[in-house]
Amino acid sequence: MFSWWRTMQESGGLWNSIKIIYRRSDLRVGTLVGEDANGNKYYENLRYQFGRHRFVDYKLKEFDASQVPPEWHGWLHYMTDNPPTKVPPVPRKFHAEHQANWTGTTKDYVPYSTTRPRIQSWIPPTNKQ
Amino acid sequence: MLARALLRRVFLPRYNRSLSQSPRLLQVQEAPKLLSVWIDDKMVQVEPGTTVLQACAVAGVEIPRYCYHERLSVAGNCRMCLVEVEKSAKPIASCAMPVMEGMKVHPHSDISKRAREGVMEFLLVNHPLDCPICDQGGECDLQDQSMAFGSDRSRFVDNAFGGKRAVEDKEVGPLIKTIMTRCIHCTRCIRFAGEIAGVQDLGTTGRGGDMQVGTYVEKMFKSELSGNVIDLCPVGALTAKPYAFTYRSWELRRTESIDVLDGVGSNIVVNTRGEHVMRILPRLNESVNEEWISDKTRFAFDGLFAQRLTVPLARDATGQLRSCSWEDVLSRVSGKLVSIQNPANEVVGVAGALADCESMVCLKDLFNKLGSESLYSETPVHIGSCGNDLRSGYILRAGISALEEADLILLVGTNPRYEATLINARIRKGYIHNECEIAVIGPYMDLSYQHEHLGDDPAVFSGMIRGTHPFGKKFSRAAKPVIIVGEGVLARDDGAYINNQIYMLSRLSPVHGSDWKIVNYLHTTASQVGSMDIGYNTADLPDLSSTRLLYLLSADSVDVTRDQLPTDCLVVYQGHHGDKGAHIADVILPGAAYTEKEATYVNTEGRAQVTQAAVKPPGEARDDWSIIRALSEYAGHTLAYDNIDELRERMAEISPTLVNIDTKQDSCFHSLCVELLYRTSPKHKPYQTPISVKLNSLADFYMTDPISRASKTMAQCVQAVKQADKN
Ligand code: SF4
Ligand code: FES
Repeated sequence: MFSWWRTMQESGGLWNSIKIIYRRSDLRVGTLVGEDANGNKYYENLRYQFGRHRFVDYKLKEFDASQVPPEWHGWLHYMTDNPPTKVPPVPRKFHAEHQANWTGTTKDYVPYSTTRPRIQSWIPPTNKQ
Repeated sequence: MLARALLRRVFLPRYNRSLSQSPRLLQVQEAPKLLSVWIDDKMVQVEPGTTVLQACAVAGVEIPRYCYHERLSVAGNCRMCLVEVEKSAKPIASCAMPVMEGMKVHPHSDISKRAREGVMEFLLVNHPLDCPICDQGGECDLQDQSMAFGSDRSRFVDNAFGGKRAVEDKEVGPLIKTIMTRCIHCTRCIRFAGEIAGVQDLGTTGRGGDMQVGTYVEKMFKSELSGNVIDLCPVGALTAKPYAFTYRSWELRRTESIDVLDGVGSNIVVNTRGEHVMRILPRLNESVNEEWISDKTRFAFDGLFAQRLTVPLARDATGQLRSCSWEDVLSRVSGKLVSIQNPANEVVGVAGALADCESMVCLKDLFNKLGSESLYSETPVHIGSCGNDLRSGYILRAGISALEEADLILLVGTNPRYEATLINARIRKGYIHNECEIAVIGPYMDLSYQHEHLGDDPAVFSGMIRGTHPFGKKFSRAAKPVIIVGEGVLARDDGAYINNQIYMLSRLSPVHGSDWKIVNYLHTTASQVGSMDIGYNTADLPDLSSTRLLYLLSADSVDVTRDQLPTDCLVVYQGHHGDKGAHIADVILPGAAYTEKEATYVNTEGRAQVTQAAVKPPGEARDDWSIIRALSEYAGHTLAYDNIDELRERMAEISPTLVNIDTKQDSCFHSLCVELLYRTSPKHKPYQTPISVKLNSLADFYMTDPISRASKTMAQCVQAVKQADKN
């Protein structure tokens, strides 16, 4: 068992630990494996249970799993043991820039009617002068 | 006093003579002897002349029927109403057979049932049975009655050789879709056209299996009442063309409401599906529209989907109307309202044809609070000194249903056929069943019944009064004369003078002063009587050169251009369509149309009726009265009512007639009204201009207000009528 005391100390003291637990309901420490373009940090700690030993510390306060770019996604989900810091992904011309999910933001997708509205509004004539 | 009475006796002896001698007046109706009829061992007593079908109805037995209709003549050609009668060799057609004393009818006997089953089978053999694609499906008499009375299987097997009867569809205009194969030859449509609409366009050709119902040669069914044949047709042979295939009858929700496109206030049912008006049907009201409605009432509702004002609009600095929030427009209007120093002259309100009583009351209360009395109704009414003070001086006093009883009707400056279609249907009913005579003063017109044309010279009245014109004599002999004065007179500058002459003429009648109401006014807009009840000014609009705020409440026919107004005048338009009023407005407050609000309208006979909200107003549009209520709060003159019930209480204070829903209140103080008219009679001669009418052709009839002007169907009708007139 990894000592909770050491975990707390490595996370920056009691107050910081409370803040972190408040934010992500979890407190972990590990070795930094790398950082992606958005500033999310990826850690690994082999002393945790297998399958829970890789984790991410998000940059943004409003975090969301879709903020993990695809190159890190593979490593984080144990599909590969090579983080992009070790084996950079081969650039392809069809790669688009990674975009987090917009749900819940002002940019999210709202379904709209594709039929003509039944009630047509009056369009005021353009400037009479 | 005595001298006057003597003089009258000498000069006008006819009054008294006709009073005491008029046979029609004093005739006493003898109570007819009742006949006893046995319906299924139950005895009922009915008047002689009742048909067996009616007697069965009295006994609570409904006989199936296709061709019989209460308001049409009896045709007796569908044979669905066959019943067994004792001592008769064959079953008889109960709709055409008058009862006889002691008759024994067996509507539930085996013979009756077999007769019905046989008739149903013959009808179905010649019917396409295309119910799944038929608009009548679900409300079809043939469907219902074949379920109830028909056989459970078909013996029709000749599909390969003879096949089904098929009939070519007829093209009868843009409103009625015909699928004539479905026709069961009940001839209801033909009888309706001939008897009620007064258009002899429909008829049958051929006989037996080759019989066809149609217009003989291809032409438009040119009638303002044509849509009613859709309701009358018991099957799906005649259905509505503009909204064909858009609904099934069981999907619709019914809202009972009132039509506002003319002054009659026909009772209607608004059928909606979800948030859409799908169709409008008539609703029975014996005292107003019976069970008919005009084509405008029925088909103009598609105008509610076009040209709508859905967001508040205001002119920006460049003079362009842009959408903005309710707060913006209300504070802009209220800011202008309170900044005006001298509201009495500088704030003017005009109520238009579709304005409801609630909003007119609100607007008047608001203006009065500000200190302005300048509220006008869009159509000026020149009736002389009693103006809008005495109600009996400006409504159709006799009432619409009483027109049936009249024996002489004089129409002055009105063509009721197009200005008040259902009133014309009443007059025609009197003409057919009561031998009513009709005379017209105005341009030549086609009223769908015969009438005497007395020319269009306003001077004709003086001849009648002096007794030199033969019509004066006829008038003074009539037992129940009615004069209907239309907008062609009321809108004239010398309207007061002509009105006075009309009263002089009415004095010639022996029933003058009795309960029979001779002089009646026909208004053509739904708001007119209401606005006069509320106290809107009926004079012409004043000089607007010092107006700083012009409030147009659904006023679209008002004759105002920007040039008449000072440049800093704010024109506010409140209404539901981008019509004429919206084009000159600086601020537009989107209101609700008649299917979208609960509002009171007073029809031309003074009957207050309430529309019901069938759907919500589109977009940000709001109930009209609540807009004015909100505006009053912004302007710091909050009106003292917060909901419609409190507003109705306020309306009751102004005039109890406004909240006395669906009753025709007898107008009192008529003698006072007459007295006022004589005392203040204008001395000038009438002008030479001939008396005109507002609408005098079918093409004019279809588009008269913002809703029907926005309606595609109505536009098609106008096109079709013009085309038909050309051919
Ligand atoms: S069209 Fe309809 S109303 Fe006319 S005769 Fe045929 S079934 Fe009757
Ligand atoms: S209803 Fe009697 S014959 Fe048609």
